[in-house]
Amino acid sequence: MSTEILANLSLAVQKGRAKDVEALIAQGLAEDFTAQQLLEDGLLTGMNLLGVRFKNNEVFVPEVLIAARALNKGTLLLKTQLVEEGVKPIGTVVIGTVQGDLHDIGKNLVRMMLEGSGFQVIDLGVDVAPETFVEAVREHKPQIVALSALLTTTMGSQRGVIEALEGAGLRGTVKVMIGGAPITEAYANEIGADAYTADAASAAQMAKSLVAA
Amino acid sequence: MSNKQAALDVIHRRSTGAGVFWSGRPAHDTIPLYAKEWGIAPTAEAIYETLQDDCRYIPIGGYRHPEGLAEWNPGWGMERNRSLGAAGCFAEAETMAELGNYPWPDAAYYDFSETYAAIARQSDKLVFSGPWCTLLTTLTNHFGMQNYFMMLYDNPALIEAVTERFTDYYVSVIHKFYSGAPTGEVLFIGIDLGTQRDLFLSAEQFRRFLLPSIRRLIAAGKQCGKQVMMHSCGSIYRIIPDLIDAGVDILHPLQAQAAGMAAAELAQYKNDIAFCGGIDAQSFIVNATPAQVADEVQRVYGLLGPNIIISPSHEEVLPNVPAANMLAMASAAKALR
Ligand code: B12
Repeated sequence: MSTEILANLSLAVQKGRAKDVEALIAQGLAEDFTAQQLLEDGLLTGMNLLGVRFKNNEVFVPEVLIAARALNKGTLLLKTQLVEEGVKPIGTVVIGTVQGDLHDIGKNLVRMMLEGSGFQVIDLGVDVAPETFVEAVREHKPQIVALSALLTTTMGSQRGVIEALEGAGLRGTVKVMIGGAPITEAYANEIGADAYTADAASAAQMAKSLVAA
Repeated sequence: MSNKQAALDVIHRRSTGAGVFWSGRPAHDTIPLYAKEWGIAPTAEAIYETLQDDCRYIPIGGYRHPEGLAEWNPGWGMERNRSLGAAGCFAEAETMAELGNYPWPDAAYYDFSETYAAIARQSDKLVFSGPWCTLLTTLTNHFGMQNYFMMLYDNPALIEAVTERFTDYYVSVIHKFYSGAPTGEVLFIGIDLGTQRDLFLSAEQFRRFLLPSIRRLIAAGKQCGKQVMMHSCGSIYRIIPDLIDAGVDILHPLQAQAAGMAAAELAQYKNDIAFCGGIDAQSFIVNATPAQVADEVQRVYGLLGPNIIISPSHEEVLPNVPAANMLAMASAAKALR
């Protein structure tokens, strides 16, 4: 059992090489690695390292997309074994772009990075009404709700979601994270969100610390 | 009074100092708000009149396909879902040959008579017009946003071939449009390359997959005797030298809060290019007082002038921008010397 496989798996994710991921997972399982090891020390490590490079503007949207695709390929292959080993997601996040706003590229990258950190993510899509977030929280009981807004005219809807959660008596059950081009830390404080980050990799880090807290 | 001569001097980078202003265009929901506040008719035209713009953007129209097809049909032969990033009809293709059934647009279907007439009515303004040539959006619509970006790796040959085909079309529209008259002074093209923090794709990929086409579009505009203004939202500081080298005359909209796009950072290019935009529309003109807006106009002009058209950093003026701030921007721009 050589740990080189884990390093290579991480590298294959970082380079977005889905075929290599497939081969390495087969090899890893044959060499008696647990699915959890391959996932956490191979796939997720790779995605996290790539996230840091994205945050530092060393790689760009295309590289994140092919890495996420390679990661998905790997997690799909490990799915049955992960269930058998009793490995659970580290938490559930409900994510969406708020009402009136159709921008989804950033939201999708945040979703991918969250998945790349071991979260289960429920993606409600774009132009999501506050009531829809509330319903999703009731149904999926996430630890975190993540709200994306790209317009100064729609960022107010993030506050709307927080108020709707309060109205439904659910605010205490979830942490609310917000982000998107016009969002700032100060705005997050103003509307009573629990966290803000400027990029997708930091969002995943933040989500991990929120569920650990 | 609009000052077309001063605007012409700016775009040819020979201004000796005169404030030139373009208000952009009010979003649909902005029009009734401004009309009410100023007691004018609820039309964009009445708003331009009040703000005394020196420039006007007249997008081209008149694409008349015999069977009523739109110019672009990214959902051709498929159900395309509502999400903007959704896969388009090129998503599954591997070669150009498979795209044979797609109804490629044809410049011959354009009838520009109404566009020419609209431009003729603005003879006292500096007019931006011509095909918007939104190449990257057209590509991402046809492949699907995520597919397009991944195919830069998976099937670069197909991406290059489709890009070339779209560019051939845009170039043919440019030539057709400028074979008639009047056409205004500036070809205005828009290709969004930036996000808040950086480019969508690396500068290397930009240079390989998009810059050659952008060069062709600009060259076509110049061949027709036009100055070329290029729009890109977001942070594009890494490729401004490429755009200057490609022949862009005027850069728009200078999204001030995006990384590397503040006026102080753009000032290094003021001898190489003219500017249009730069007054932050992301939060500044939403929240500032009219006096602060006036100060900001002066500050930006001090850094980037005299060859700048003062304008918001996004041409679509959203309803959360107070009417008083647009008036303040207009009068501060006019007052510049
Ligand atoms: C691409 C784009 C579009 C595309 C969207 C395509 C799509 N599928 O999403 C199209 C052309 C459709 C579009 C439309 C419009 N747009 Co637009 N658009 C952009 C642009 C150029 C890039 C946005 C983007 O995709 N970035 C890439 C991703 C990766 O970055 P991101 O979204 O910022 O996300 C990152 C972080 O913010 C963070 N993040 C994002 N969400 C979240 C959530 C959480 C919880 C966390 C923690 C973090 C986080 O992580 C992400 C990855 O690191 C921006 C420019 C800019 N500066 O952002 C303008 C911009 C956002 N648009 C703008 C405008 C005005 C519009 C329109 C109103 C214009 C119009 N009439 O056409 C419409 C509005 C449509 C609507 N109702 O939503 C303005 C907004 C100005 C303002 N006052 O707020 C901008 C800023 C451009 C400008 N020059 O000012 N747009």
